[in-house]
Amino acid sequence: MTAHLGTIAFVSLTALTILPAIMVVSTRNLVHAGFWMLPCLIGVAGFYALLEAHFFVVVQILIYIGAILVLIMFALMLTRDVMDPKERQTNAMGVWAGVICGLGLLASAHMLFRHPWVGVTSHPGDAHAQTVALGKALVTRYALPFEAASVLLLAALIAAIVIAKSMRPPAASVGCDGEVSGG
Amino acid sequence: MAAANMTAGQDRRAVAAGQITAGVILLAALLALASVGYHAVERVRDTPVVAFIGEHPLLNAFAKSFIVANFVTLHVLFLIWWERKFAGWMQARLGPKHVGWNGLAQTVADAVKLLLKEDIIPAKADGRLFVIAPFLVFMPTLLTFMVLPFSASWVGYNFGLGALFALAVSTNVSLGILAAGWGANNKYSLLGGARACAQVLAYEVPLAITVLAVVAVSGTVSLVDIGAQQSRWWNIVAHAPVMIPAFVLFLICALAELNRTPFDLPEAESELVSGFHTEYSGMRFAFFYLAEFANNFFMAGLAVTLFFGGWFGPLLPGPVWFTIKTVGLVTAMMWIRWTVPRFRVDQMMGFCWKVLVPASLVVFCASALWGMWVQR
Repeated sequence: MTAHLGTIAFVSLTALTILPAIMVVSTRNLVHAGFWMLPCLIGVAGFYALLEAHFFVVVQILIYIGAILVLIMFALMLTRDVMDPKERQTNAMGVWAGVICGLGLLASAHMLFRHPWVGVTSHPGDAHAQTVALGKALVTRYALPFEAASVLLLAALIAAIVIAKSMRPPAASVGCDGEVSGG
Repeated sequence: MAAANMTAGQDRRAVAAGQITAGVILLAALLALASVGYHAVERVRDTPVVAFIGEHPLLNAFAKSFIVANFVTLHVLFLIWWERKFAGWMQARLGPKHVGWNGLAQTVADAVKLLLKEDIIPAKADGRLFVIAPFLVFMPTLLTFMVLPFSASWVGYNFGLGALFALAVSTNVSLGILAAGWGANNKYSLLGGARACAQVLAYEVPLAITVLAVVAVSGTVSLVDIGAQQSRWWNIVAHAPVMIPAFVLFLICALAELNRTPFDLPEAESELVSGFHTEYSGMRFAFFYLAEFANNFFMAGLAVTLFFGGWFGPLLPGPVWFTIKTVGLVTAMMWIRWTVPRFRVDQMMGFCWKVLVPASLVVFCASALWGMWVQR
């Protein structure tokens, strides 16, 4: 019974992830494409839930839907002519992107089939135990990758500030009569 | 003249005393009824039918979702009435008083009116987004109530990462607001949607950090466990030096997350014609309202669980205490709403990034140290 439920859940989550993903790349409206990402990302969170990786369910919702998707939508809404039908809505590099993604898919499929999978039968533990274990691993064994990731994010943050700052006209270009030149 | 004034004053005092007495009797009756109801439900829980439903995974999920969805929808009827009465009291007027006892059925009448109203979709609107936006706003609200503990056993799903889950899901409301703002194809709606998005993204950061401060003190992320730890002393009393500033920050950020005054910029009536839901009417409009009030109850409930001892209290059963505390906190939020004027947009963002984020980080570090000291 439970096995059947798991299969049903897996199939419906796969549909929930892949069909919206196809819509994301095929719809001609950029804002719609952004909103189609929502069911796709929820589907991925569902896969984590099916694997009982509780922490990743929450992080998937918090980071990918709550922050990244909202940020993408925000950027879209600040972009002009998104709804203009005269604007070209498809990616000119579609073919090459497809080829590269296909190669990546083949490579990962190759790795997946070659990997000597060990059948995992033990219960992964409840959410609290998992979170404690993950937290300890992040500050002990995986401290270096964790810190490297935070340095990367910090660099991105600083770069964003630098880009935003340089849009302002330099203070020296303000003339004696208060007229702003350049910029 | 003086005599007439005196009698008028005495009359008013008599009326006020009568109202207060009636209110106290009514409140006592309500609490007694709630306690009886609690024990009745606890007895029903032990019957074989309910036990069978509880053991079957799918039936259990459906039954719990059904109960939570109904609670979310129905408690708002009371909250809206209460807000209107409270606002009336704050502004020295009466509020609703004609439909039902003291206007108690006014919200029901309004809901029926909204149900019967024509569902208008503007011709130039982005049809599909416009149609789904109210549900995108409402769905996260429903999900958050699944992990809100009314008592140790009265909780939809005892999730080990409840506090984090509740935060993660509740911020997704901003996507629905963006969909509404964009879908309506109206400049006021779009401005409101963009404001809501920026605001929720910004205030989510200090809100999450203050919740983490509580987590650091309690040593667990589960809302049920955090509540259960406060059986003797509330967090805000037991860990007062760190928890009082944390609660103040939490309350400010929660008001901003809920888009409530003084942070109601996304729907500022005087500048944006009610912002992202300008174009909505009928039941779709009602969904926005429903979500707003339900979110309000949820945020207050989260604060009660984190700071005010959850469901613990003398005499009355747990869920009743939880509801009393939560409605009390909701009332405090209404008090703020009808007292404080609105922020300006630039003030709002600056206040969050330059004041709240550093302050919440300081509180978090202090809480971590305090937690280490307490646990030692």
